[in-house]
Amino acid sequence: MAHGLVSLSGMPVLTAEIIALLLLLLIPFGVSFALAGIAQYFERKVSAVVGRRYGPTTASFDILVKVCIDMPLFFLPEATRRKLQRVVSVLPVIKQVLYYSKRWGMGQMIADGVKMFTKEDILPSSADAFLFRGSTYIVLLACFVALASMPISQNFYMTDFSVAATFTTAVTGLSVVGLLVAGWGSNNKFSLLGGIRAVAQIVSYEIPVGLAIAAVAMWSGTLSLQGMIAAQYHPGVFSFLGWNLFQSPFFLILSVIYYTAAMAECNRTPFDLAESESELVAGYGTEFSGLRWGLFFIGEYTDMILVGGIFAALFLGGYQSPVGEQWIVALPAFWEAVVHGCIFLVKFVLSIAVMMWLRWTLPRFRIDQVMRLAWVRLIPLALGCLFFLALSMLWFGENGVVTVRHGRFLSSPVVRAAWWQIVVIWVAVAAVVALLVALAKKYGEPRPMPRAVHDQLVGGEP
Amino acid sequence: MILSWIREMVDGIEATAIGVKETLGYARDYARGSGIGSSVTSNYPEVEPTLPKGYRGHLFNNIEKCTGCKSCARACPIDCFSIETEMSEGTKLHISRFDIDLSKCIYCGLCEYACPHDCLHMTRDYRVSPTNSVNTHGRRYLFRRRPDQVGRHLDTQEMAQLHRATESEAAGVSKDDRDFLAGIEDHTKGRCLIGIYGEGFYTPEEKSRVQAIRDEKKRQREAAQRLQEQAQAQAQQAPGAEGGAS
Repeated sequence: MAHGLVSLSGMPVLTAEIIALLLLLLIPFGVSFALAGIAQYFERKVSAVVGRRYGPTTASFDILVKVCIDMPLFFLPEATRRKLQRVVSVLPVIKQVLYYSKRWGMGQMIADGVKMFTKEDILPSSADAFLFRGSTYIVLLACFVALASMPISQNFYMTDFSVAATFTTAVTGLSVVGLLVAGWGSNNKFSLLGGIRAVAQIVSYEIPVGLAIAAVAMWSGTLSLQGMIAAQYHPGVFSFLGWNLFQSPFFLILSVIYYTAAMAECNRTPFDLAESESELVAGYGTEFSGLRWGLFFIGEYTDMILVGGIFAALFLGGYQSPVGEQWIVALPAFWEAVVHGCIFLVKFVLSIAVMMWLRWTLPRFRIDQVMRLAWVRLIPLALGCLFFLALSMLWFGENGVVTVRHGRFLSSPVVRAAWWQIVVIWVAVAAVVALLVALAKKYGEPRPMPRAVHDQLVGGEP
Repeated sequence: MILSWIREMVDGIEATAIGVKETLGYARDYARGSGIGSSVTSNYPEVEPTLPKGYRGHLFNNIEKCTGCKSCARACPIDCFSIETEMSEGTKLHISRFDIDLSKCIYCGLCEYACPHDCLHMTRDYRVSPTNSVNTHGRRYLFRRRPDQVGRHLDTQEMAQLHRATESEAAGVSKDDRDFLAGIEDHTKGRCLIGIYGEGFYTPEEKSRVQAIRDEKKRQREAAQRLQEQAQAQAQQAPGAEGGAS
């Protein structure tokens, strides 16, 4: 208390700090809302392309022009404001923006947001109000907090600590609680079923995700996301060779595993059993309306963005450029952040686009298929990859140990193989996989469909 | 056993690859076709579909030629016509009601073939949706009847009122009716669907009476105009007269 509790403005320091904290909290909220809006618009367009439709084509940004003129100039008569709007919307740049935003229907992201915010918030009379309301905040909090360790650039990120990767998975896993509470608090059988399904699925798929992250952590010798990216640094023009994806064939398999499992963790369509519209109405979100439902929605999209970012960081070298990293590192700090941020953006937008593409291509799995995929396929495969990766690291030995990468001290040395060792492993694994696939195609027999399922689908009662 | 395990995974990956390849093809088409070339849906309100030859849209009856023979009603497989005729002037058949319930119509076109006087046609217009909330009643949109007037025989006076409503500027048009007519004008852009309440709905006496009213109004308008002209002429003369006096 030595510095006193009263600041110059007469406001107690504690109050000022709390207010500042609350204001700061608005930033991730705003960012996530905007990101979710953009992602949702993007998803609509991707779905339109995949489904051979147009997608949004009508809403434009003209609402922004209206708001920007109407709100600050509210004291002017309405006719003047309309005239001003007309004048502004034919200015060269603004005219182009309005034209293309209308052509591509970009105003849809604003329109959807406004629609969601202005809908009625309904609390079912039989629901547990506390749990019902609290669940949305838990889900949202889990997604927002996980965004904190997003490694956007070498020097531009919210926080990075020695266990960032673990922290991210742990915090994302918290959303399980929110979903179950939402299902339970709604006091509705479909909601409860949806919540239970979501929990079963997310908890199952956290294991392959964790194994994939463990493999990368083992390879880079750190759990910090920044450290993992720094460990993928490769000097020279072909810097993409340093990315984990190209370093070992096991990482290729692990990246597919991670991607699938993370998609399942986001509850996206091939795995969206938790909110399957055709069976469970909307699962745990059945009773939610308006902004509360929107918060789940935003949580889902934030989760997706998070998965895209982590995927880029783990396997695609994070913010690093594929064609020579040394030039970007030499730039001033601001431009370095801009360039790295753009590269990171491209990577995670691509991974999100693939996620959407898969969503609109594949039909929904059955619950038994989803569970079998996790426990019978992904987990043994991930364990096998982890084992063979460890074996290959033993073979590499200590010959490529580096402690400084990318101008950053690593917390522990990185094992790096000679190029011929990597090539040998790639060739060997490719040969073994090709052999196994050929053998499996010749001798392996697919497991017959379970009797009950067969009866239901083919012969029996619907 | 392990081979089966691998086989299942390979099958799954192959199946996914087939689906993904298919949708990637759509995306490629989308990129090539300037964004909309490959779309199987149409951008409807902006771009109107090209209708095939012989497209059968809403029915239109030229009431001037119609004789009220009810061939169409007999040919109709689902009885969507309600036609009522009266004898006027002793021998002549006057059609006092010719309604087509478009919510029943299946657009088969049999009535068109049955019509002996070639006055009933299927137009190429397919739109029923109005541009304002007043016209949301489809039948009213087509036949200019309010919901309470639909399905009921209108007497000559009501018919005249309706007809006056179509004249739009005439007296006795409520705000609703005016909105509704404005909507029609806006929407159909000259493709008149509604010739049904043309002059044919009037008995000759009614027709002459309406004509008399119109003539009377015209005379009044002309008289008013003449008065105005006189007043103007006086106003022009007045300054001259004052100038002469001074």
